[in-house]
Parts: sequence; C-alpha cells; structure tokens
Amino acid sequence: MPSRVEQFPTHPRVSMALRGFVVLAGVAFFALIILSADARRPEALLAMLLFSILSVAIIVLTRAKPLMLAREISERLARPELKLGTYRPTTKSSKGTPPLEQALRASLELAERYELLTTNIAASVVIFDRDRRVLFCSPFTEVLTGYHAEAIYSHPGDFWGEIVVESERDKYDKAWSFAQLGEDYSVRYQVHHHDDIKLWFDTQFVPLCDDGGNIVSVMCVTVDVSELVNQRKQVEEQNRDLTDFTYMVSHDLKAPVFTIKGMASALLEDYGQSLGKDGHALIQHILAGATRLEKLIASVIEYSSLGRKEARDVPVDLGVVLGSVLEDLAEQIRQTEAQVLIESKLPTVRGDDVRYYQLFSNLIGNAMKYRAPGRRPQIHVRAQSAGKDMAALEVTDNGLGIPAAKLEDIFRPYHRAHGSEIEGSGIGLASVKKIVEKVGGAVSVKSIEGEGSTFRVTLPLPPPKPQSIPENLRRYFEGDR
Amino acid sequence: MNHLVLMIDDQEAHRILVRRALQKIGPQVEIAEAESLKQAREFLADGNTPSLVIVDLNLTDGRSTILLEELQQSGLNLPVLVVSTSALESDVEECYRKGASCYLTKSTDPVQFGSDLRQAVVFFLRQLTSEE
Repeated sequence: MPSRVEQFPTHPRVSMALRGFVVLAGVAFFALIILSADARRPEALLAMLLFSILSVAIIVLTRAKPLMLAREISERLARPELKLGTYRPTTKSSKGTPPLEQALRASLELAERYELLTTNIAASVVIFDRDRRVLFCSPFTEVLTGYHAEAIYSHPGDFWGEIVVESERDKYDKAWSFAQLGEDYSVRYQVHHHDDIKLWFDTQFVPLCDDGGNIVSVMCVTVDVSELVNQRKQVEEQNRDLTDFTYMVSHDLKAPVFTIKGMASALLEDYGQSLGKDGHALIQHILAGATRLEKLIASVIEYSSLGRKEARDVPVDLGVVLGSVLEDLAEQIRQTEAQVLIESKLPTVRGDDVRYYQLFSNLIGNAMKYRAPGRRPQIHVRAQSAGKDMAALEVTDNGLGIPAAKLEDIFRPYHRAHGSEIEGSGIGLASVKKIVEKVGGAVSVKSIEGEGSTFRVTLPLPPPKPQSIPENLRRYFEGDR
Repeated sequence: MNHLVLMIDDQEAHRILVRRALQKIGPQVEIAEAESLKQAREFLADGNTPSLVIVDLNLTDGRSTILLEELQQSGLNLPVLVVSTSALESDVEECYRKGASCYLTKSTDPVQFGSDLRQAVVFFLRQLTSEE
C-alpha cells in the first residue's frame, strides 16, 4: 500500500465564512458611518449591533482555524497506519498552552525522532522522485555506496541505477516498475561500491503518493547483505565439493575391492585343494571383509547422491511405495517372521517416489534388523495429518529400541546405536533425514530401550487441485499452448 | 578359428582376472594386453588386428570413450566391450552412444563377472565368424 504524503486541507468552509463575514462587517461599518449622523435612529442601532456581532464572529473564526489545524495534527499523529498508537509528546506542555502549539510540538518531536533514526540507522534511506533523481539520502548512504552526499545529490541522472551491476540491472528496473505502480517491493541485487568492490544490497521500495493517489516519490530503504550472501555461497560450494569428493572417492574405492574379491576367488579356484579347510576359512574371511567394504562404499555413494541428484516433484501414492518395499523385503520378512500391519490408508504425498521408497525401505528394514532377540518383529505403519499441507507417517516396532544417550546422534551419518552387535553402514537414518528435510519435512523418534521405537516422518501433501476454469476463460490461465 | 583379443586396463590385478576368465573359453582365444590408451594405439598401429577389444572405462591416460570415438572413425568395425566398476546410467549411456558393443560392470561377484564376460566375448566372436 503506498503511503500518503498528505497536505493539510485548507479548511475551505472556514475561509469562506471568514471572507463573507469580513465583507458584511465592512458593509455594516459603512452603514454605521452614514447613519451615525443621527445615532438614535433604529437603523443606526441595527448597524451597530450587526457590526458587533460580525466582529465577534470574525475574532472567533480567526481562532477556529488554528484550533482545527491543531485537531488535525493530533488526529494525524494518532493514525493507526502510522502505528504510533496514541502519541504522547514527551515534553510536557504546561496547562494553558494553546492546543495548536501543543500539536506542533508533538509533530516537531516526532520529526526530530525520525531524523535521529534516519541519521543513525545502519541502512540507507533514499527518497527518489519519479525520474529516479535523489531528493533525499540519509547519511549512511555515503557509507553504503562510497559516494559523498553532494555527489549523489548533484548527479544528473539515475545515480542508483548506475551503480547497480549490469547483469543485475533487470532485477532493479523490475522493482522500480512495481514501485511506480504503487506496489511495495523488495529486491536483492549487486552493486559497485565506489572503492571498486561489489556489494549485495537488499532494498525495500516504498512508493509515496499524494491525496489523489498519484505516486510522487519512492522511498528506498537499503541494507548491505554482502556478508550473508557470501557466507551462504561459501557453504553451498563447500557442500558441493564435499559431495563431489565423497562420490568420486567411493567410486575409486570399488576397483581395489574387485581385485581383493577376484584374487581371493582365484586362490580358492587354483589352490583350493591344498589349502584345506582352514585355508578355505581364511579366504572366506577375506571375501567377507571385501563384501562389507563394498556395502559401506555403496552406502556412501547412495548418501552422497542424495545431495547431487535432482529429486522429482510428483504425486506419490505411499500405499504403492510401501507395497513395493514390502515385496522387496519379503525374504527378510519371512526369515524374521515379521508382522507388518498398515493401520490406515496411506496418503498421496508429493516428492520423489524413488527416494520415498528408500525412506520406507530403510525404516522397515531397520525395524527388522534391530529386532529384539526372541521376539517376533511387529511393525505398525500409520498415517496422520500434520497441519494443512503435511502428512505424518509413523513406523512403530517392538525391537531393541535406542539407548537414550544415542537418541540425539542416530540421524547423523555413520553413527550407530548398536554397532557392536549388528552390522550396518550408519547411513540409513541419515538418508531418511536428508530425504525428508529436502522436501521441507522432518523426522523424529521416540524410543524405549528394550521395548521398541516409533519413527515419525512428515512429508508434504500435493497442492490442492486448481478450481475448474470456464472454457472461454481458459486461455487466460493456461496461456497459449 | 583363432581370435586375437586386445585387453586394455591400467590395473595389473584386473588384467590377470580378465585373462583368467577368457582363458576358460579355450586356446582359440589369444589375449594381448595394454596398460593405457597410448599402448593400445601403438599396438594397433603396429599392424595388429584384434577381433575384439575389452577396455576399462577409466584409464590413467584418459577415458576410453576417446578410443571408442577413434575406432568408430577409423571404420575398423571392431566390437568393443567396456568394463567398469561404475554402474552409473550416464556412463553406460555414453558408451553405447559412442559405439560400444557391450558394457559390463565389474560387479560384486567376480566369478559372475567372469562368466558374463565370457558369454559376451563368445557371442561377439561368433558373430564375427558368421559374418566372414
């Protein structure tokens, strides 16, 4: 909403009344003079009376204007959109101070307060006219841009636009066009500082308009966000590097694993006879070690690929996903005699179906892997709503549970709660966390050691279907196809 | 019918394993080894005429897709089997696009890999013999 830069109205009625009365008073006065020759005539008395009344009226009206002005100022200061509340001036005026003076003091004080604000705030406040010339710039603008105020004021053209980095000019111009339409707009863009460095600015455009709704000027409040942007870029780059590195390394590690397994098998093949039972066992250990190494490498590749590959964003029927997971885990289910119970209809969410398969495969696979010895694994899956656009899924098991001390760390990669007893890579839950967090969801766990655990994930629901559009208007919504 | 198979891999251990696998086909398969793209090119330039090439995807002096392109352009019509530890779809696609006849992953089971490799080699050699 544009802010209104209003001018105080000129109280037209009061002025007109005043003028009228002055004229009438003049007439009465002349009448008096003419008639004053004979002061006892009734016409003379009438003229005197009229003259007196008019004089009083004139005196009252000349006071009314300031009174009305004072009222106007106070009402303005108390306006809700200014968010001043009921503004009470801090300088106490003594009783008897005329209301206009009070009101003027209050607005002066407010003006001083705001001047103090714009002078000391670590942001640039600039007011541009419609041709983008600078009408006012706060002192910090000098710091932010590196140019002196005189240079900024005296610049013949679009000073600010000229310091914007060329490739960012479009963004800046777009913000201006919105502002000129009366829209508040904020934009982040790069700028050439006077001292030959590039900075990132966040600017909020606030169009200011007059009583008639015409934009007369635009106020821009700008802060320097270079540090924030640079830090973020650094972190992103580091993340990318790390993911790439992990990926490359794990691929390179596969070759020697192939060698170890191949050679061990070759030994068995060629010298199996002379190795005997003990020799065989040793070789089996070599093979087992190599296989374990392979699994670890595969899990590292899988985990790092979650960061590299693009995820799909489609509707995913979790019922179907769970069906595939259970099918593929059928052997493990049979071996552990696990019972899997799906308590409610599973919702359709949005995201990547392959990743959600991984997610549930990890959760349900874990529930069986970390089963309590002597107990048939019982796994329950249920769905709940979690707010307007998320669904929650819970997977409960009656397995080993997680020791309280390790609860915090289990979602971290390569951390294991039962590492000594049960084989695993340590990235199952870390992958679950990465998958849900990438779609704006979350994962949490409640667990009692010895009794079991409940894992809860929240996933986004698909956006609601758009309302049906009448045929003849369809092209305005879908564009030319 | 004797066939010469050129095998290119920078890891000696892998060359040994591939040789072991191929030797099981029989004496009609003769195996020549190269450690790098450079050695392979020299081998071919010396006038040797292998019937088939087995090459690892990533060699010390380059990616073997370069060799694939060179062989395509030379018009030699040589079946090339690419082997690799990588199971990346993008790698497989790239090799087939550049003219590989076959792509085998050095999978988790070397015994299985050996048998798959043999099958592929026998298949392509038979094709060659029937073409002649």
